[in-house]
Amino acid sequence: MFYINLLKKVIPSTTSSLRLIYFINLIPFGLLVYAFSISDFTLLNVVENSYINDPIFYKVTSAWGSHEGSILLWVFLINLFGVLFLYKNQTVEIHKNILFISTLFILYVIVSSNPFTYVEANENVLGLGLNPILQHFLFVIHPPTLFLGYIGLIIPFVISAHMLVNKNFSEKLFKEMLIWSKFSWFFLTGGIVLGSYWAYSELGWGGWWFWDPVENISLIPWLLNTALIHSLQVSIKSNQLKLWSLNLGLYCFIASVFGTFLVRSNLIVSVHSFATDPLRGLFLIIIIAYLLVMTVRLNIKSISNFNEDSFNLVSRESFLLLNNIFFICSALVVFIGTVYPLFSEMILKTSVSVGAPYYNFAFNLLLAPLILFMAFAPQINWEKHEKKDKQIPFIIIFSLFICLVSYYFLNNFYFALSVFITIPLFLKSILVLKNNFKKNISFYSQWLAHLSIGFFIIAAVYTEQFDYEENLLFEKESTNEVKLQNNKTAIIKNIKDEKFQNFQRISVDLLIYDGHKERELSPSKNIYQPSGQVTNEVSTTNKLFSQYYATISTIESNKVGINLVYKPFINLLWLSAIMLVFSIFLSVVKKR
Amino acid sequence: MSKAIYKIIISLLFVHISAVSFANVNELSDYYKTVRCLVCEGQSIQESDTEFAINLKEQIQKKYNSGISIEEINQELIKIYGEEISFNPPKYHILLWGTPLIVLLIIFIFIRNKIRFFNRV
Repeated sequence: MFYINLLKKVIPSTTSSLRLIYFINLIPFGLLVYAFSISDFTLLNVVENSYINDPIFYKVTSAWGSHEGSILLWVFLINLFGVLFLYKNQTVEIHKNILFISTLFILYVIVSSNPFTYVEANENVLGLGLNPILQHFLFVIHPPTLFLGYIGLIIPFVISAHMLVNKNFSEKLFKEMLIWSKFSWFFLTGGIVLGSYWAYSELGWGGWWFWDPVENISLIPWLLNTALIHSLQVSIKSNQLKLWSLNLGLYCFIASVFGTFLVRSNLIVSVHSFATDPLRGLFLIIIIAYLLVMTVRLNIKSISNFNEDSFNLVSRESFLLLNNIFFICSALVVFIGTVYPLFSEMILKTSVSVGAPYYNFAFNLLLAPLILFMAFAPQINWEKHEKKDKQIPFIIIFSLFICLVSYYFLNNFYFALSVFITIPLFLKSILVLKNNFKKNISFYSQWLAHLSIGFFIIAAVYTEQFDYEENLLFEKESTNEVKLQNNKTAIIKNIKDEKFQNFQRISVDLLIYDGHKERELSPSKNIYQPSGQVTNEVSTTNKLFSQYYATISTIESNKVGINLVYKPFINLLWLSAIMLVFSIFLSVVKKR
Repeated sequence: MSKAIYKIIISLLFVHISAVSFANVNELSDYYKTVRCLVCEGQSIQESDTEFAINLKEQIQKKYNSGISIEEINQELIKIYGEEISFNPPKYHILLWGTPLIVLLIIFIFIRNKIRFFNRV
């Protein structure tokens, strides 16, 4: 890998040599994957993260199960994006920046996290095995997807830097930036959703969203990227907010690098823990500090031209600006919540945990007005909006009415609030669709994205507020039937013990009978080799949009404890997330 | 006209903020979600099935049944385990709790200035 840096100096900068460098930078990760697939136990990294009897599927993916491997994947993806971007744009200046960042990370790999450390081959070594919690089919797609999302932001970053340095605000580059940020948004959203689903289906990782630091830091680039997509629309359509979008584009990538830094340096306790090494954190701090200093320099340079934008108060532009401010502020709030425990431990000498109560408070404050605006803003014209919308007061009053009704019946504040903010969105969506039946695809993608956010909020709040949990205890010979709420019964059928390639599974077959329909569940505990670690496998059964969610809490020779949770509307949540991802897919496809 | 709009916005904002801040935890299972399991990494005792979490849940259940309010139970837990136990940090962490409010205020001022600016033009 040392040769790569040398090569760069030797070959003159032309398109084909750029491509060559990118391809050379792709090789190390390919080698690592190959080493994992043949279980090459002369590499320390393979010994530590792979097991000879693991299925080939997990053997290959173990390549990104460790810190070293995932950083190498990061390098691989930077260069992959570089190659892809080369087909669209051959500006050498931009590619130099991409290669520079890639070199920084290659240096990082060499200095502090080299996956190719050699160890003496030994025939008795079978490998320590991939962490059992990671042995799930989502492990194959979740990390690469999320990484694609994070690193996709490098293209907006380098384009913005290029434009700010050269003061060349061409529309073509803005359009390219929009496509790439949408591309990254697609993977980022997909990655977050997959991660969330993984957390949900692998108990112990805390429900579907837990405000875990790692989830938060994936949310920060997401929020900023969402803001970026919206502000780029203004830059392209009405030639305004250009510097705003460019500066935002810089911070998106910084946020994603910063996220990686926080996870890798082990400064913050989280479910995604990697082994600690102070050098790793230090080196990443240097990379971030460097990028940040460059960014701030560009910010300061451009700040004098900031007030050139002017547009009408009631226009699409001003509402998109408002949207941007809300999104950036929520990103800031998430950031404060994530780093506050660190701050408090260093300065105030008390350790605190910031969790759901804080984020619920902050997001209710900030996102509730935003969602309310979301219902009406897309119908406002560009530049100047003159005709008054007479529906607004009626819609607001109607949704207030529905909100009060739902509060009266369900007696839950959060749900009533979410009803109040989403009803205008639903109503307006229906009305708009009725009026503009045959518009272009970009209209549908925007419409679908906004609508799915509405569904998402309703489903999320409902699930969180109205789920209930029951602890069932079955005893051998005496109780194999337990009464549940609402005239339901849970019956235990039998207990199985099976052996698989690299684990042993003890599963419990359970029936839930609600008067006319039987639902089967079989939660299990898996015991993995070679570590002997036990994981809980969740079993779920659907009831339209709701789910029963069962795990084994205790299992002994004469009694079995089952933890049964009823999650109403959880499937609507997943459905809306899929809709959201699909909507952006629609708008990217349109461009091709 | 515009003054009336400000008044409406400010009062709505006030209602919104107070409504959000007074939405309280009042059920035991919701309370479990705000208690951190100290032996696991970043989970609440609601989701965790470690011995620590199960014991703590039993203890809290007992206290709750004997008529002690959730607020008092929470205070007691903080006294024993430190602030780290609760995902709901005390309100004197002004920087933390104040940020969303300040941010909202800034947004409001921003909108107001924009309106002024455009009225003048």
